Amino acid sequence: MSLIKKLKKYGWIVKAIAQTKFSTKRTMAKGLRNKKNYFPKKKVKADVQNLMNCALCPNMCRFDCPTVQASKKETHSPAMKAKIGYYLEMDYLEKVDENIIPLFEGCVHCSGCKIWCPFDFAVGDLLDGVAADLFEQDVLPQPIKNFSQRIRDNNGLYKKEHYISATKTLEAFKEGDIYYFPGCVTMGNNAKVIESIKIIAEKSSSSIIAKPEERWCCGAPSIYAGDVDKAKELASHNSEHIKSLDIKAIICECPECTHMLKEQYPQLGFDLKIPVYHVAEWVNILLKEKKIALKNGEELVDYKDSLPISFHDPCVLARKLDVAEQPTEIMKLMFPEKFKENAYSKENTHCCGFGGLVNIVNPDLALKMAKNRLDEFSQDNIKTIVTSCPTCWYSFMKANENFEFEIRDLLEIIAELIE
Amino acid sequence: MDFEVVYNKKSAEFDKTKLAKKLIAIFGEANVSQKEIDILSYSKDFILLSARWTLDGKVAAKPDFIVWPTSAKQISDLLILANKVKVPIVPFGAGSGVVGGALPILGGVIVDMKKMDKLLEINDQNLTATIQTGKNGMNIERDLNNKGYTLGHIPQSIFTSTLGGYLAHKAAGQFSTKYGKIEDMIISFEAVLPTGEIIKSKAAPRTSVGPQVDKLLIGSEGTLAIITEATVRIWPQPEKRALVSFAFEKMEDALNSVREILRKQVYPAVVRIYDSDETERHFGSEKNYKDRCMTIFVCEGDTDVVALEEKVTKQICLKNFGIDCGEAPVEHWFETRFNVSEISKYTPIGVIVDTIEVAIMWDGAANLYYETIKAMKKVPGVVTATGYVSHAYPQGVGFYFSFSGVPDKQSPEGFSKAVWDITMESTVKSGGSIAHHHGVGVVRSAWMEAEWGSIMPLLKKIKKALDPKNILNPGKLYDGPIE
Ligand SMILES: Cc1cc2nc3c(=O)[nH]c(=O)nc-3n(C[C@H](O)[C@H](O)[C@H](O)COP(=O)(O)OP(=O)(O)OC[C@H]3O[C@@H](n4cnc5c(N)ncnc54)[C@H](O)[C@@H]3O)c2cc1C
Ligand code: SF4
Ligand code: SF4
Repeated sequence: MSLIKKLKKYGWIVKAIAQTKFSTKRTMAKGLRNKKNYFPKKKVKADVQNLMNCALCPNMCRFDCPTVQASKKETHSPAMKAKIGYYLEMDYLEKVDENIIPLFEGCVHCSGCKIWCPFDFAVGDLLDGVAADLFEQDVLPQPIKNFSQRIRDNNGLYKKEHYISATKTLEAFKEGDIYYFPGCVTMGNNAKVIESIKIIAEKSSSSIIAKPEERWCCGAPSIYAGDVDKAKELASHNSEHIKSLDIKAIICECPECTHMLKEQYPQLGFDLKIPVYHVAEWVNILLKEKKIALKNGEELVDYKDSLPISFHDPCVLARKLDVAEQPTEIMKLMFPEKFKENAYSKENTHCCGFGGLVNIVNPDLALKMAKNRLDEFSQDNIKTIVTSCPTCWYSFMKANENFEFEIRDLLEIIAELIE
Repeated sequence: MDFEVVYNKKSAEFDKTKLAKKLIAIFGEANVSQKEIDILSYSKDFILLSARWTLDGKVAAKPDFIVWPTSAKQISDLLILANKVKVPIVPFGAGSGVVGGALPILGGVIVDMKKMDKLLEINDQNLTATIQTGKNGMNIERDLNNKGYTLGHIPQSIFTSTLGGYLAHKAAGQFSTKYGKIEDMIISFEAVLPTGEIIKSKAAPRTSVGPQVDKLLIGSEGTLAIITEATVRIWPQPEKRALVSFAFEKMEDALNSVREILRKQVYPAVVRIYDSDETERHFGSEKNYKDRCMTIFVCEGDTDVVALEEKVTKQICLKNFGIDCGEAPVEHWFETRFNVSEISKYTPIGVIVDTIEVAIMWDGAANLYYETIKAMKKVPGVVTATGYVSHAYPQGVGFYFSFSGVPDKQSPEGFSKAVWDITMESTVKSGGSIAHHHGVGVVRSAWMEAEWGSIMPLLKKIKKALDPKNILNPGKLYDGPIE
């Protein structure tokens, strides 16, 4: 806001202040000077000013926060998490597991709060800074320390052996001007998605290159664990090998990796200067350029028992990357009549429960969130839930024991219905 | 760090270890907590001074336990146990109350109702919904909207409050002139009495069967019952909405316009009159509004009815010298009505911000407004004192006063109390009621006698009869000032 606009907006207050007694003005000036007392004496990584703003808010986003909606605990409400973070930064709270764990089990980093926040905060982002400070002070709970150590040891979420099958499939991507950066979760759990990318690439005559032996984890999990140095190391390594390639674009099937490479790497000092797309954007471009066409799935008997079908927007994709329209457009092309949009879709989506490190510190709560989300689909009598994030897919597969949905990845269906 | 506790009078001692075992027997281990971090999280509601306390490392009041019931039966078992052990029980919705209602000022067990949050039934023919009271207001509204209905209860805190809190504090939403306040919406309910009996009233459009004792529990702020389930009336979502705004030179002209509109039995859903400072604060200083009282209306419902309401509203405003400001101010109100950021911005620089709402019949309305603003401004340290009409009725209005300031040679608590006291005094003197929709809690407790006069002993008798051991939310409403 420009100074003139600001003065105009606060003109009535300025006038009111002018009319107060000298002693009131003096007390106000003292208040301004004393503000510094509400900040830590030492330099910290956390954004304390905004933690404080959030801590003092009456929790205006709480109704859409999936963790507090699952646990029903005030301790997990957005403003309370900010308050705990603030108190830890101020040394008002002891840095013990009981006080720290709510920050990790209580936030899936879904940015659901951001839609409603008058300050435009995502509490998850505010908590990243607190995690970084706690990491530096070596006070994080053991499960989180173990988790960051796991990434340090493997340069990824899993041991190399876990990636053998995916690495083999990725060998098909030998030469090309599009670089495919596969995510750890896909490589470790759902290599079928990589097969689907292969099919789409062949049909669209796209030439793709992948470097499964060279790519390391994108670094997002390290950020959640407060391990900023490791995140930087991973970013540095990845950007080095990517920059050595002669490519015009990067695609990722994991929204977290997309976000990391596109938005976070520049902030960490590693701007790739190459466009980064999530696969839903890539497929959308291929469709617009008429490089591929999709069949109507409703006319195929294979899908007879799988309809109606819906799409779960991954929160990072829809909210942090603003890729909210493309998946629905693609779904509607394949299922013009039987696609049912969920009441909480696009930027209003709800998290699958496995964002951040909730599943590391409180798997039951993560699963509860996943079940809550599946419940939102069961109300529409949906048979198949499609998503476009390996973590969402994984979480729904786990939570599906109480439901009977088919859980599919968008790419798998595209590969099945591509002309 | 040990947080200083503001309300720290503990009740009689009880054996915590024994009680923990008994609570776990009722609720299960996962639904009972005495972890320090949970205790800290439930040591507050949104009593506005608590923002100051948050930064100064103080907490409002500390419970000993938190429990999360999933059934009325569990609550009943808890209350029977509490009567034996003599432990205070305090119901808790979302802690958005601004008067300290949910603060466990004598310690004890907080009953967080949020696990009882199911929408149990929608009855389209009767136009009712039956909902568990721990459900968040916005999630109620969204569930209803998804099925084509609205409750029409849209308080500014809708994102952060529960049905139980509304019933306990007799809340009022922004669209209340058409849809009514929560007490108009409630048809029947289930509740657990302080001695553990579960009661359920009958759903009927109206009855004539003696005193309406069940409704006595509405507004009882968790002191006479824990309400577990409620059947409320709902409406089909409105077909059409018309946005109307007028600016008036004088508060009296704005008040007269609204009074005349309602007298004609025209009920815009939203009616708000801002004084000139509030107008500048919310709408800026455009030529048409500067130094004027912005008045906004939202007419909604059936298309034909809305057209008529819009026409009558405009005619009456023009007749009372209103300047038609079009839809823009109302659109702006829609965009900003949930932006609550003042507390966060001003508390860290030592400024105390608070709001006080009161009610008054039409014949005293203008006088109450002028007298109260004048009185508030007299308190040393007050920087701004403003007011607006937040709710309007054929018989009168609810005024919503706001103040900000810095404690000149006083404690924050002393400063805040001085402004509250003078506002309460001015309201009582003008013949108004000391609270329109936020309730009593701890901040208005001292004024209950002045409000109820000859009826106060009856209120006390009712409490004594229903809660002989003073188990449920003790210390509130009936016992005078809370220090
Ligand atoms: C930013 C903001 C805006 C607000 N705007 C409005 C507004 O427009 N209109 C309005 O009316 N209020 C408003 N309020 C005040 C507040 O939201 C209401 O008082 C609301 O009714 C409190 O609901 P809660 O669920 O948060 O209750 P809590 O604060 O948790 O509790 C309030 C009281 O209700 C009792 N209680 C809670 N649940 C039950 C139950 N199931 N059975 C019995 N007793 C129970 C508690 O013991 C306590 O005494 C606002 C508050 C804020 C912070
Ligand atoms: S980022 Fe998501 S989980 Fe975290 S506070 Fe915001 S809404 Fe809640
Ligand atoms: S994220 Fe924004 S809306 Fe949510 S509690 Fe914090 S400040 Fe309030």
